[in-house]
Amino acid sequence: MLWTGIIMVIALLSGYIWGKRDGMISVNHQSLVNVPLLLRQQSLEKGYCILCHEPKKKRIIHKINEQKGRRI
Amino acid sequence: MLHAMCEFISIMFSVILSAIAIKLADDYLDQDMDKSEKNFATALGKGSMLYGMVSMALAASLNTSVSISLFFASYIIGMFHDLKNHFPSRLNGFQESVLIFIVGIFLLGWKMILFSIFFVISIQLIDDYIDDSRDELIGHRNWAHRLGRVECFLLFLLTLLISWLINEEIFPAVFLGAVVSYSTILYYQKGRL
Repeated sequence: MLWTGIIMVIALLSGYIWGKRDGMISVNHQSLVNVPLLLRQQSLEKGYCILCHEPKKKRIIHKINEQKGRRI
Repeated sequence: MLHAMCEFISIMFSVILSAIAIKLADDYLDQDMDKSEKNFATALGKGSMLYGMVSMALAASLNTSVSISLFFASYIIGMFHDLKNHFPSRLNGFQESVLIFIVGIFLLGWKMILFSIFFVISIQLIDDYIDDSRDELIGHRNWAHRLGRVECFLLFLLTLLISWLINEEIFPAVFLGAVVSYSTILYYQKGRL
């Protein structure tokens, strides 16, 4: 009776740990594929790179340069 | 029949008194971190350690092997968080644990010490499982954080069953004593839940 209980709990515990670890690995793999696509999608929607803000930066630098030119 | 009943009750009260002694010692050590009124050592003041000793003496007079083995096991489990720290004995936590374990085996037998160690581990695990959210806020070391809540609960069941397997004769009385003392402490410290 006690042995059955112990074996059942060990089985549950090892199954849970195995499943959790497996789930984490698959989520990691999935995110490796998904994240670059999501970044690209959002960047295209907003019109600038959401990581480096590249075109936005260029626009701001251009504006600053323009203002400097006027002052001179 | 009457003898068996007396034995059962004496073990149960021995466990309750040991639990009081262990709780007082634990709260006395945690006094610096926990200044609230829920801490027994703060509520009782300087006398808390003395009350703990009296409680332990009463427990030992009721049932020596159960009470002393539970106290030794609590000492060993309590050291798990400070295995590398050095103590006034100039030994580190690991060495002290091993020393107490060996002394316990010589004095009380391996069956009693192993039973108590597994039983105290199970109490520690269920306590960490219940206190999970509170300890997360305070930043206490907690097994439910380290292992995960479900793992912690399943390990509690496993260690409880193993302790039952090791010593089937005294398990019911010890378990009942632990349930009574733990629920009383929880009732007193209602804010913990």
